[in-house]
Amino acid sequence: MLQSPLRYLSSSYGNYTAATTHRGALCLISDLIDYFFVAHPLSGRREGEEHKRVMYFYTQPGTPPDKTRQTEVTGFAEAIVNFMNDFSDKENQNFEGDFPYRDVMTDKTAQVYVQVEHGEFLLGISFDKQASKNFEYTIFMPTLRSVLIEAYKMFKLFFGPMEDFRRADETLFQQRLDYFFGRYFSQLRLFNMPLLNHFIGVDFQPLNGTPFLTIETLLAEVKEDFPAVSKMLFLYQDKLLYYSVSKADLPSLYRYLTENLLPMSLRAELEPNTRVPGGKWLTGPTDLQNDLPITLDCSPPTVFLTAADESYEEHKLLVYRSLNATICLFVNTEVTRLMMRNMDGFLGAELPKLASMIGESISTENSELRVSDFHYIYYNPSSLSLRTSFHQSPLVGGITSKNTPQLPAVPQSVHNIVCETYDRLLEASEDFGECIVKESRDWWIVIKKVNERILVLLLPPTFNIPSLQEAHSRIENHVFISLPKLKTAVYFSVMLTEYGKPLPLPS
Amino acid sequence: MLTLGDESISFEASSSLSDNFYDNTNCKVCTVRGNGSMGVTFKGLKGDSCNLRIKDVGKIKIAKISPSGRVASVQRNENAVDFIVLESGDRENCIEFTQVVSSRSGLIRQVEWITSNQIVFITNNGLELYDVNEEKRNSKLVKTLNVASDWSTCYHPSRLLLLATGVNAATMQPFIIHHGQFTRLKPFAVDFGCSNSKKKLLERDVTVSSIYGSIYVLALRYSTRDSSTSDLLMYKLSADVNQPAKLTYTLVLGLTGMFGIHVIDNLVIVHHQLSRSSLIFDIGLDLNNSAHQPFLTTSLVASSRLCSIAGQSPSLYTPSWVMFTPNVVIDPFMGIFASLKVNPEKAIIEDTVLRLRFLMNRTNQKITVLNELSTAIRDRLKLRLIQQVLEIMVEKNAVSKIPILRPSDPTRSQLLCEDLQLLSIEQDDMVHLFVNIKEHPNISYSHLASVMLAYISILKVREITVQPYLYEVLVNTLVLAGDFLKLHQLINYKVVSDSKPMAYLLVSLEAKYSPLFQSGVDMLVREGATDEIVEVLLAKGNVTDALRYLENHGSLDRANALKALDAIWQYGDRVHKYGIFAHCAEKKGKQVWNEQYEKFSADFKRLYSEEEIIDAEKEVAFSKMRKFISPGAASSRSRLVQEPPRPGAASSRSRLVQEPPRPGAASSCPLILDTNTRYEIVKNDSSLILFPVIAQFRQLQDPRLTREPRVANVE
Repeated sequence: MLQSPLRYLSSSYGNYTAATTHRGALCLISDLIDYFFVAHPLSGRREGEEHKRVMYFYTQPGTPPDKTRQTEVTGFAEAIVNFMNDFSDKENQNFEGDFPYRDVMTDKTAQVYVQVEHGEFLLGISFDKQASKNFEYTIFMPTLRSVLIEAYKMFKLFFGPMEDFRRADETLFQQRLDYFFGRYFSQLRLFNMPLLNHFIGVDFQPLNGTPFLTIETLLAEVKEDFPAVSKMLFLYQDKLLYYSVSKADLPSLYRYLTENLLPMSLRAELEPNTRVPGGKWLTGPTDLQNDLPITLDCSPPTVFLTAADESYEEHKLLVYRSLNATICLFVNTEVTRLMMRNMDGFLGAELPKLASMIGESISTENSELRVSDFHYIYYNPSSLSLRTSFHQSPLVGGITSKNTPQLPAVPQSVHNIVCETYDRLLEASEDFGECIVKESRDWWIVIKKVNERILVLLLPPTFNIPSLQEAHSRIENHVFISLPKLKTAVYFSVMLTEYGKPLPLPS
Repeated sequence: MLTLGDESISFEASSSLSDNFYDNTNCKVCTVRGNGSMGVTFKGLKGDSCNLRIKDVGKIKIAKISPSGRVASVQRNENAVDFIVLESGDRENCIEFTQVVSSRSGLIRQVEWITSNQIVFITNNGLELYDVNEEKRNSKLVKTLNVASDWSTCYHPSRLLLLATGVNAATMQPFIIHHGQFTRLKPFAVDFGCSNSKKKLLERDVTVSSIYGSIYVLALRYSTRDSSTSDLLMYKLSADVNQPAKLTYTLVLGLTGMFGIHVIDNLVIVHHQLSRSSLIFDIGLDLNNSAHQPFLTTSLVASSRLCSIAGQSPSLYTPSWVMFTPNVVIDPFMGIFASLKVNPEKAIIEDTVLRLRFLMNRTNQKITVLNELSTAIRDRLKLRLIQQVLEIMVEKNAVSKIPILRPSDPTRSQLLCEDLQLLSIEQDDMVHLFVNIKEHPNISYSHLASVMLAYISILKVREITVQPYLYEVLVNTLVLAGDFLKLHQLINYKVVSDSKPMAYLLVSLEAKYSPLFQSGVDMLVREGATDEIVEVLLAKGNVTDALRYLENHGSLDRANALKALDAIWQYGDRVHKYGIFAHCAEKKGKQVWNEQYEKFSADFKRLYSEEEIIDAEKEVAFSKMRKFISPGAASSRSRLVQEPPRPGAASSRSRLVQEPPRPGAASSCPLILDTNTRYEIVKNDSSLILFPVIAQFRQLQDPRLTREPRVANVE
């Protein structure tokens, strides 16, 4: 029924496993977690069949499956959730996004349970505290919740709602869970700075209005010429430029594209003699010259996108790439080779032109960030824009140190304080706020929240700030001069903070 | 689309008694009866006529009036021209004077009025330019030039005289006659398909006209091999007099027989007598293509006026017709003098884009173009095609804005051509068009928005400033289309320019799509609209944020403070009321405000009882301590050091804002964590808690606060 999208996921990480063993930037989640499970509580209601609620259970590789433990763990989770629900009002339920959750902290583990699909399914994850300590990973509960929810969303993107799938074919459902999460958790890496996994965003490509309009116009033409295309996404290099998919699906899709699909094709592009004029399809059959029906083994991946009425629509994902530009077309009818040929004819002529135009525009706009000597994280929940100095692209070539040449590595205690400050000293429900904290090793942490946007600055000891007063003037004079865009962000105004080019500093 | 005779008159047909001439200078038909003794009549299309009577001293060969209409010239002898001064009133016995050619053997072939008092004689061996003085009733030779020619043609608007020279009369020698000088342009050869049957280029096969701002010599070429294919060659005269004319376009006729040529509104119309059809060419549809096919073939239609003159169904395309540029048809045997009119809006062109482009090339078709464009958009013409049309439109508008450069030195000879009237559709017109379409029922808003975006894109590429109201219509259309995602991205990528009205529009759309509030406020900030931002925040009930913003921008004055108090009294609970008032009161200092303020002040005092205030103070002090022994960073051994509460009601009272309804308010105060993970609360001031940013700023200004913090050991 559903072919697997995971052949696109397969072994794309091989290249930089070595790079990421370097401590301090990324950790393999498989090193940190004790277990992850997907449970369907209703299936285990009958006495003696409790284990049936376990749909999927991930444990450390090499650990033999232990049905008793699985049943116990999921039973405990279910009990916790039910117990706490019974003893708290409906209004006081904890929500992360749309999902009710429960945190459980024990001596050895930090656990999060999230209910999805109206409580039909219970997902749980448990982080091993000792392992986290060994890997210098800071356990921050909101991040754990985000990780869990993102995992669910990624599964849903490819397979649709779990309940529908389970009802259709429970065995296949379990197989797919096994296949998907087995790979997902063996490959997923977390940032040592937990906030980066907590803020769910995408990296936008800054661009001027005029070239952006050209993209917009071309995409409008694509949609007109190919009515089967219902939604689109446009990337330049690995940054997002335009999307018409729902915001709910955007981060997952963006991650799939930039972390799996594009790196794979990039490797193919690097091989000599494979360059083709125009562009090429990254998904779907490679041979378009015949009109044979597209078989499952070469079919483009199916994705489930959120529709306007919150339901899900099945789409085929066609990805076309030319030079550095990638266009993703979500087709809600059957894909034929003829359709792909026609699209190829259109895009092959237009996309290279557009790509080089964007390239020119970006190079003339100059790099927007000067080399800075501090770390920052900028996140705007309303546009989902996420920028940071910690990484450029976590999955294209591992950690790039382009913008942070001589920056001292951030010690774990700073990660800790950043999380604590963010969580405890800034009000989640407020759109404004500010907090300045000095850490014991002379790191200064500045968190500002302005009109929903969040800016986190991590000023290393090399910054040499003796007092709070000094901190203010230094932040004014140094930090915001290095980050003119962010200055405007902080002062309530984002000139082109997220997208456009920097503006002269306000006097 | 071609109507003959909207302007038409009848005249006395040529017969043994009368001769007719066409005066190309003034576009008049001249009827000479009895060699002038029975009268000479010049009749124009508008019905204006001029009658005179001269003596019969021989057959008249050429009759013309000066452009001012005050002197008539008639040629009776081969070597002389007689001038008749036309005085008002008596035209029976006009005064005549004669000018004989200066060269002895010269025979006059043609005379052309250049200005109202200058006339050039074209003789078999040269050109002779004379000044004609009607007052003194004489004429004077100004200039002569020796050049042999077969025939000549004159294009009056440019004072351009074209002489046919050479064996085949196929070498064109153009002259500009200006300021009493002959300026010789580079000669050029015309290919007319020279053959045994046609050895010479004939005058009737050559037309001079101004098309799209350039002067062209149009020459019919008959095929040398078979007569089935003929074409019309267009030689473009360069504005630079030192450059020879160049064959620029070939109009493919694909017919044989007699042709008549008109040039109307930059269209070349070739009438074909045998097939009784007219081929229409518009080189403006593709200026880069050198070979043009007729894009339309049609037939003339007689106007009602012509019918009334020439009978119910006047015969058209008769062999007796004589045609003159730009648009004149004369039937000397029927005595009909008519003009041809092009009605571009009636052209039947299936292809919408071609039709629009054709219409855009015509003069005074703005309304038609806009209507057609509106229909095309409503009918969801493909974006790419609409884009093509819009691009041409914007281009034309831009070109029409460039002032036509007139030669700075009027004494130098220049090839002048008729001013080109370009279609000028402004952004206003387009906005009007878009608004009209938007209000039409059953239209696709997203398609309309795409069209607008294409238009804006074209303007931006050309670096033309986009009018703010165009953006407003765009935003409204996107809202109607429900495409907020696109709208948000367009705003983020600065496609939509900043303006205060736009910011308000975005803020007002918050209910429909919440991220637009942020975009709107950002825009206000970029516009530096402090008051408006405060207004927006207050209206939303974000009183604290509004005050914060005001403090940051140093403009918390009385009016603003009262506005804030007003808002908090309207939206806030007592905690907020208390906090905001306390802050404002502190800011106010000893200033006296007004009764309104006093009212708030009285209310303020009733908010909390003494006991409540004391309880809250204690609670706050403890909760604060607890808060900072956080499980993450702080170890259990850490010493919590806190500045003791300062005496004074103001500071303790303000702590009430840390009551449970706003548990987080206190948490945004700045902390300094020192090397021993010992926490020192540097500032524990009242307004610090509610307004951390403001407090910090004040702290910087207050010299007392820069000293070492007083610490009390609570271990």
